[in-house]
Amino acid sequence: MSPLAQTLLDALHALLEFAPPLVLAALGGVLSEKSGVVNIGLEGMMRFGAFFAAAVAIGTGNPWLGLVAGALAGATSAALHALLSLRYRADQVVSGIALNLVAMSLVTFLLEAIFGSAGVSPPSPQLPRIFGHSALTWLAVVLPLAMHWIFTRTALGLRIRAVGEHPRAAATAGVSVLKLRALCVIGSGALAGLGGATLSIGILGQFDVRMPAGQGFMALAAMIFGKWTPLGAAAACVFFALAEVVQRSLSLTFHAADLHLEGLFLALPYALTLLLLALSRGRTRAPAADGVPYDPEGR
Amino acid sequence: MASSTWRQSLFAPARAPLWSALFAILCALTICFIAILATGKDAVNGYADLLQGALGGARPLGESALKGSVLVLTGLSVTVAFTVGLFNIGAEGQFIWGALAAAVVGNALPLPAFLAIPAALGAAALAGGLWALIPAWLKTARGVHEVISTILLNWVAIDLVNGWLVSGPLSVATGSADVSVAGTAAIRDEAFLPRLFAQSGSRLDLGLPIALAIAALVWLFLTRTRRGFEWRCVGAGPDAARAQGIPNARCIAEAMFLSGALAGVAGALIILGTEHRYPGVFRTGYGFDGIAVALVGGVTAPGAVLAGFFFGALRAGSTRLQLVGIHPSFAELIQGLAVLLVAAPRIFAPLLARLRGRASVSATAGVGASSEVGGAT
Amino acid sequence: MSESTQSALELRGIVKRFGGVAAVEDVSLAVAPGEVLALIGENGAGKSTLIQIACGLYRSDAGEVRMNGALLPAGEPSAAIAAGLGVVYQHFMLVGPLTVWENVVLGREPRRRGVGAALGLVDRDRARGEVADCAKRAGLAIDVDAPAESLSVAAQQRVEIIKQLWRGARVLILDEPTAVLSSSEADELLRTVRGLAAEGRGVIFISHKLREVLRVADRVAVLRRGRLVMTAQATETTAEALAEAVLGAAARSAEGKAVLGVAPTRAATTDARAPSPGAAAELIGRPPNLLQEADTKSAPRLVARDLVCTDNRGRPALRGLNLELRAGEILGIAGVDGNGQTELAEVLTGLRNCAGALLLDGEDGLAPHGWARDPALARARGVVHLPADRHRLALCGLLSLEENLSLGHQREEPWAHGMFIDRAGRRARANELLAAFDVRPADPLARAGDLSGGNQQKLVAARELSDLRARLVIAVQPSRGLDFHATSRVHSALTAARDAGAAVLVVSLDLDELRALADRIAVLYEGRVAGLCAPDASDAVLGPLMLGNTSAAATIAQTGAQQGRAQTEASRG
Repeated sequence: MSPLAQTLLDALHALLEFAPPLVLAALGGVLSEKSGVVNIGLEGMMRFGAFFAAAVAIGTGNPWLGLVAGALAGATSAALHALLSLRYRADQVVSGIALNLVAMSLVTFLLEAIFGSAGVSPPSPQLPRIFGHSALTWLAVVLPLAMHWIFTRTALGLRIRAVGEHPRAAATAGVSVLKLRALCVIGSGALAGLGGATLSIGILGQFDVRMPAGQGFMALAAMIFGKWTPLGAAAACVFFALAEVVQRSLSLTFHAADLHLEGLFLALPYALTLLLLALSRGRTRAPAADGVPYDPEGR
Repeated sequence: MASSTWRQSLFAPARAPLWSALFAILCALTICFIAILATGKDAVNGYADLLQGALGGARPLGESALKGSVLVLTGLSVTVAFTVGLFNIGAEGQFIWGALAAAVVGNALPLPAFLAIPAALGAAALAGGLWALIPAWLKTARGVHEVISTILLNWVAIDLVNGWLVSGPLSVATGSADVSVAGTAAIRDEAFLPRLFAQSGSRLDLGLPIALAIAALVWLFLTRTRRGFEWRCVGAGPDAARAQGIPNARCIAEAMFLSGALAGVAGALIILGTEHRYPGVFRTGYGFDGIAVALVGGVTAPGAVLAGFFFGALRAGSTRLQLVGIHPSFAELIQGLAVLLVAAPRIFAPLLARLRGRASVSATAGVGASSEVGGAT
Repeated sequence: MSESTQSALELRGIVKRFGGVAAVEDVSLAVAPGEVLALIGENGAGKSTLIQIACGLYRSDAGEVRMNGALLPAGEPSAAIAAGLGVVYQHFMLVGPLTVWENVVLGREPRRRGVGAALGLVDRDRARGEVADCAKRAGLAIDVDAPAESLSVAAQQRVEIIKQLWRGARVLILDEPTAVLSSSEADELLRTVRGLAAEGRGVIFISHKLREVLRVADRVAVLRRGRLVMTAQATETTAEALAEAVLGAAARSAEGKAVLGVAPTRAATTDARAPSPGAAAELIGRPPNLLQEADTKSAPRLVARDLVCTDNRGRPALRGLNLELRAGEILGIAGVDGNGQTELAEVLTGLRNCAGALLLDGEDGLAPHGWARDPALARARGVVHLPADRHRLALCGLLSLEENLSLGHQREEPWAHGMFIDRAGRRARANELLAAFDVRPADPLARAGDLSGGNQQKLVAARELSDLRARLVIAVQPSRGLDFHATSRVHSALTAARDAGAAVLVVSLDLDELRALADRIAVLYEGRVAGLCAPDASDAVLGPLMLGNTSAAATIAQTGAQQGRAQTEASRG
């Protein structure tokens, strides 16, 4: 194999490592915000997913049960977000931020309580690899297309779009706004939880206390950059992952660690994301009712 | 009917948020108590240690006030950004730049104490403020939501400062990898914040009066001046404010600068008061905690002072928890839960209504209540 | 209607309270198949609440709703829809980015057969076909593939009606359907309504406008303060009798009748005069440049030349607009919604960029730092604004009344003292203004967002029109959503501003309002002034102008002025 082809293949492999957690979380973001609920809590939901996937996989020895636990943990925390922001009409941004704070500390607390560690969990059983990558990776490849298809072709997709744009209109047409929104938020949490599980039992093979290290927020940025569409968000995630791959290889080439330049390279993907957001003027395409609490008896 | 979502309470001249905050904190403490019991540890002794570590004597009190002062400032930072309707998640990044600026200026300028301290504080304010202008500009000129931009800027600040500047160019021991954890060179003695009760062993320093004075000034500015009113208008209704001739972008830039400056000064208090250099490992989380302080404090300046000192005491006390084998992140858990609960004040609405009903029979329940309790904001 | 006919929709003993205040008090109503029942009353009389209860959006505190005799479960909109109740709301319930057919089938999407059904696939071809058929049968022209947000207001209303028909509505409730339509569009709608009734549907028609109610309805029911105060056959009552029922004692004032459009307005007064050949010239749509010669006697306060601007979506809104406005006059701007009215108001108040020339007392507003470049500068030159979208543009709902009153004046005495807010001065001035404009509650600490629509508008008027230095007043839809008392208060404030020497521009979709207020009426069509008319111009003159047909208007005015007036008389009933 020629050196160039080998480099490209390596890059593709690296891409398939880095992109899936982002893609899954970003799709979660799309699902929630399309229905009109802002989900800043993706980061926390990923963290819960990553931890519980690892913990259950270690406890039962079965990575598939870990996978289910990761999705369930994400969905459960999302249900809390749904309860606060839909039932109690809390400010959705605040509720999401609060969820992140709780996820940050509660998981640290549980890591200490269960595994007696402040850094990493013991190694967990990993998901089997298909063509060199876990099933979650391939799920992340297929899911954007599936979600695009749901939004454009199915009755459910039509209703989700309607509820996110003009909930009262949907309500008068007989759509149950709060139920549908709750469903979307919980689904969003399950996806973010799967994204977290990808980090712990899909890639690293253990839980690290720093997980997901801002990936939930990157996923949010990808969602905005992708104009709240599944395909756009996935494309943005691939781009961010590519930036990460390039950053790492550059960092290695320039011996950044020896020169104390690591931080410079680490900051690069975040700065790049900001630059792209600044250039893309994202706000204009957000669903019209995104973040607006729905009051069934309001006027 | 007025739907009192959380954001509305921001502009409400009502005392209701205080009650919600109190309930939220009590609930959070209870939930955590049960969580400790569930992990099979001694919750009663744990809470006793917590109390001891926070309030038991001059030294613990000093630690609580010390941490509280910093939290008051980061809480005010988030509060100030809120008045123009921006959610500044970036206090952490602004805090870091402020801390670095204070460390550099405190080391570089050979000045007497009465100049060295203001110079270092001023540099910190400037550094934090300038960093906060980036999300302000991104918001007003490019339409980028500030929550996203400030979060990303936090990571940029953490990586640039901790991962590069402090371990590289500004490191006291350049070259050798081992000593790079030492951080920057120590600041001059003149720039040390004087300790107030040094003989009692308390580390409490000038940071406390500084934080309180700043809080009072911020309160005065936000509630009593024309410009403060204009900021509030921008936060309450940006389109209406613009239509009445209030320059939105300028108000947002000013408020974000002040917000960043407050976080920067908070960072400086840590450097000038206790660290005396920018350490190689410096992850305090004071900036993030500012969000909790502001929210639990009902996003008012007096609320930030109360919540800041409460969480400061919690932080100081939680170091003692390790004695009974409970991770100090436990304090953050209480904080997180409290924010989660204040986020949805409606949870407590039935309870509040009952309390109010008992307090005064004449009070008309529910609807008119919010306008009744009007007073000073 | 005969006693034996079973009611299509029946409401019995409905009671609804909001926080202890009764919005609807023991109301019973029924509509038979094939019948048009008009429901009239002031704002806050309980019409909307009643509708929300009928269609299941609100739960009533007492009473029941029956469709064809069967009891409907409370609080379940889907049950009401299933039973054949369709509502066309005043604020359309359309999802902007979705296409017409998607909007129509939303919530009851036809599914594909077989595997597709299990996956929830929408049968797009069937859905599109059914919607197109339904529109055709009702005689309503519509492009089923257009996004709803791209349609005109009248077309959106047609979509709403198609939506209900496609769902098999046997009873249609139309909530103030003509409020947003031009007079010709309204005529079209009234014909559609009669057609729907002729097919055996029951129709409840809610309106403020007594004349059109008498034209379209079989029976009229009047609500006042949540109670049913009158029902009558349309043929057996008069506009005056209805006005008295709507307003109670207030109807005896001439002003009240003028607001409702039943009493002789200026148009009618002029009609009484013998028409002279010169009168025709008063009515015709003159090219704006001719006006200049006629008005050289006083220098214009505002001159607009060749104004060009785009709307929020970047489409042309003003396309070379010319306008002149003198101090001490009220110029009414008529036109079908969406012909540049909003943009004109925003340009004049510094909220929107434009090209052309704009002079206020000779001062160039479009120079690099001209007054029309910045709302703050416009305000400083004495331009005040009562915007149509007062929730968004005029008030901070979360702030108190006194804070809202100081908004825009916050740097001046008595609101401020130096760099500080003058709290005592502000409180005193706020109390004064709240009393003068009769804002209720007159509590300076109440939140603006908690006020009713009428009181919010009075609050805005109190702030904007109390400014004695006002040179140019821009009022857009000043009485939209307001009841009689609030309307008359706002109208008198506008005329007072005029009498104090301000130039006043009133934009309204309601021709009766313009006739009652304006000294001249300019008709806007596609971003230009299509014609200028005297305030007594008839619908026959204004109507064609509003549709851009200047020659037809001129013909009517010149050759058939008398005929036109006769038509007006006829349409007035």
